[in-house]
Amino acid sequence: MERLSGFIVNFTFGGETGTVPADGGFSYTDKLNELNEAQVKLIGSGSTIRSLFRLGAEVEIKRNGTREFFGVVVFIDTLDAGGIIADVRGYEWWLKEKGEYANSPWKATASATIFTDILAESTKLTAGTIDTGISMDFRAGLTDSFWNSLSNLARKTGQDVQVDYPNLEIDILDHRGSSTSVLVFNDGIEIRNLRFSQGYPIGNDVRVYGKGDGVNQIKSAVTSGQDAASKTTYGTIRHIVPDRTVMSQSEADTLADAIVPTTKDPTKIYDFDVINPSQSLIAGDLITLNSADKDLTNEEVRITGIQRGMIGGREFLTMQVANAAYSRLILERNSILNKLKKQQRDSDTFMQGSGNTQTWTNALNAKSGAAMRIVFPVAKSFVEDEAGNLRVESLTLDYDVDPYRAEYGTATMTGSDPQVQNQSGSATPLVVGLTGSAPMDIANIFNNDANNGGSPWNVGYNLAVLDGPPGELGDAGDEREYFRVNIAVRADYAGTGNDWFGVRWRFDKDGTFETKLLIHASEHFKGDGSIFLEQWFYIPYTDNSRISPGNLQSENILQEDLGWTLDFYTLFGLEYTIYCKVELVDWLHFHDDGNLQAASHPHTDGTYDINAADIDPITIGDDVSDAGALVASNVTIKLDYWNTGTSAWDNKVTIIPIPASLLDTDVDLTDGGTYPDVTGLWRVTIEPNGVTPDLVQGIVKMKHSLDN
Amino acid sequence: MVMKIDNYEGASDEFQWPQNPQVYDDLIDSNYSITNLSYQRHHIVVSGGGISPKVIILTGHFTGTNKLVDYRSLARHFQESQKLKKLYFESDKFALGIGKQSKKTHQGGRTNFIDYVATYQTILGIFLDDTQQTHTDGGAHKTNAGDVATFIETISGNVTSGSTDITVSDSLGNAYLIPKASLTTGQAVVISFVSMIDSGSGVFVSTYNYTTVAGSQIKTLQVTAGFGMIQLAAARTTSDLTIVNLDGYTVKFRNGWSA
Repeated sequence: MERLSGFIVNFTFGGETGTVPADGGFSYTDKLNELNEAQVKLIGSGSTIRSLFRLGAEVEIKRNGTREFFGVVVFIDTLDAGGIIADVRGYEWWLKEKGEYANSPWKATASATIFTDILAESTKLTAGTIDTGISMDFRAGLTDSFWNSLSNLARKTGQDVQVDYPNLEIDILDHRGSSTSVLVFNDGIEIRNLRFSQGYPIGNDVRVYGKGDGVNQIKSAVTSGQDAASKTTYGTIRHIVPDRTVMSQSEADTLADAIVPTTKDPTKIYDFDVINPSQSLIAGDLITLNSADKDLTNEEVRITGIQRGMIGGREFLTMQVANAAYSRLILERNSILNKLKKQQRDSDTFMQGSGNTQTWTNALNAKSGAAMRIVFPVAKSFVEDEAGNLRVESLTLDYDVDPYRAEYGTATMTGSDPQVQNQSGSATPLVVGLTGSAPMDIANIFNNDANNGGSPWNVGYNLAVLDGPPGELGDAGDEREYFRVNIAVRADYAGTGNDWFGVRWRFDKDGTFETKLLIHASEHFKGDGSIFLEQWFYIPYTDNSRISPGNLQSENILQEDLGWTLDFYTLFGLEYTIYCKVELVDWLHFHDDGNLQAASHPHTDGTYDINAADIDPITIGDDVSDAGALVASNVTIKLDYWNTGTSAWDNKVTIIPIPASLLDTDVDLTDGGTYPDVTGLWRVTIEPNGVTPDLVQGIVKMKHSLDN
Repeated sequence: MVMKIDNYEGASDEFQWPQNPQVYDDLIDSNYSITNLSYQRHHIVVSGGGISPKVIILTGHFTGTNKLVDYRSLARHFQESQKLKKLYFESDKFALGIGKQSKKTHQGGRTNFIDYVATYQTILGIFLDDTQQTHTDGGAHKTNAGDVATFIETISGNVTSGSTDITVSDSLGNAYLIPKASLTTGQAVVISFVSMIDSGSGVFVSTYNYTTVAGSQIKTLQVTAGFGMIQLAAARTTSDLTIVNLDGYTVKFRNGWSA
């Protein structure tokens, strides 16, 4: 008689752990590469024990002192009299969390490294034993759970995922369980109710379809995923495996090669009850089956699933095995549906056919104040989904500034120079500049610095009479001459008495004196020896009317050889000293041109024109050339939106590269994902900071999702 | 010997048969399961030994002026299925269980009698001594003088140290612990083999290893070996038990009998 298992079921909630009498029975699973589950039933319970049965409570099931299952309560049925049914998921259920997968996609990376990277993000389980595996490409998406990523990767590496419940670790093993048979089960002795099912092979020509769609979709090579022996026996059976996470052909080939061993042979499924349920077997172990009436002789099979527990007070063990190659569990209905949903979700998540890219480019000479522009549409019909959301994934710019590109050759004209004909309009210019210098002719004709005495005329004493020589500067008929008389008188007498002093000019005219009274008896009191009178007189030489208004001559007669007399007189005949100088000045004189000239002045066109006969063809040669050097040192990049309300460009983003850069790629124009934020017309301008032009080239790239 | 029935827990409410039942059916059924193999000439046996709990059938009558009162007393006990009962067949041994059915017959010719049939469902397959034995820590050990392993009814004491688990184990592979997180030094701990607990709506459920600390039930008792039901084998003493971190503990049990 063999000993049956001793089970202990513990519940932990709120930091408290208690053993639960699962009087209604319990069961738990150990599945190969699938999530495990358990169920615990109580027929009746008090509130204290029931307080352990809460969503999220952790359930431990020990068999013979060893933890064989550890999970989380995810569903509770509460019945009369404290009856409870708790559905439990294996602790690996927490791997439903989604990861960031910062290192995805992995390129030519050891699968062990990828497994470790994925598990490093989990907050509940850690990496245990990770067998080496292979080097491969792998991609995990943000919507993929850790478990799905691990399962997907393990499927491609052909490895098994093992949950280590005692240590809460995930092991990735080349082969979970024993790879050689650990037990022989004989029908009717160790096992009973054996049911053996077989089906046609699933496929011996496995084709993996990965990322993308259409002719460019990633596909495994036709030489991968093949098994010639199976084809010979069963014919070619093509098995299509869609897996949108596959992103390279090498990965698709690897997966196809990993799948075909499991699908090339007829699928065989064995269900049976183990008589002695106290078997220390795990999913993944190989066992040997013998059953004469089912034609099974030393049939080596692999355990794909174990379910054990207590029902009706009795221990049970149910096992599902499959042929060693097809070591995937034949799932219960719900699990199959979930797998289908997962495949569909992978397909939806990793679908690439709905992505699209658009590019716009321009190349133009530009400078500061004259930017190069690229106008592009964010079309509603392209980038908006059915919910009205803008599905722009990225908007970037590549740009390059090069030396100015001239695109024309030399302009030449054949024929003669065009001639201007006819006349301009009239103009009256001003004269600018100065004449040449021309001194006045001045002849000193008398200079007497002292004289005194004489009899006065009229009143008093005439002190002196000064006769002068005729004065003429020689130009006969010249009416611009005049006498310039300078007189200074000093009273030489002592004392302070007053006297009167006068001066008279006379000149001969045909023997008659014409007179002009220059100074009439000026009273003065000077007697201190100072000069009391000093004065200039200008006496026209030829204009008689000026000399004597009362003795007018109607005509201006040039007085040639004119003699003149200055009379000085005083009332009391006192002593004076008279200084006198007479000059003859010819104020009328000529200046040479000096630098006189007409001021610069415009003329209206008048009748000027070009002789049409002189206009010959001008040809511009074909040539391109680059300037010798760049002018700009940096650029300003702007993203603008055409505001239909204001009919103006609204600037949304301005980027000045730091450090300065005249060439860059993948410049983010979205300002951290903000723009474009609306459909319509947008533009990118690139303005170099040079004062003269450089050649500016740019490519705007937009990646967006596309609703069909 | 006068048969009687009384409450197992709480206040006594004894009923003595004025006349013992004339016939009762006490079947000893070994505790095993047997699985037939199709077309085979051998079967699979799974057994943990012991005796299955049983249904005891009582057939008897009441007579005299109190016959109806007597029957009602009997019926009351058998209807109080929310309480564990002690059904005594001998003056010093009882079957622990609950009343299942009772019916009385009306016979035209026996107007002086009330004939009845009553069935009693035991929860244990063994009989227990009426006399409860008590072993106190440090005192003389007591012996299970019965012929079958018996269950330890209560273990009680005070927490020696609130920083240590309380552990209890027997020599038959059963053990449990109470974690220190549920204990404070000096608190009174009582671990009962079985008790009927209100599920919350007036419906009672048998609760094994019912444990209180400082008078309040706890849920943190953890079985660490076997079925977690502490037992004492026949002819063995309480020295077979190991109890840690419980000051001045007392162990109470009754001799176990197969019949």
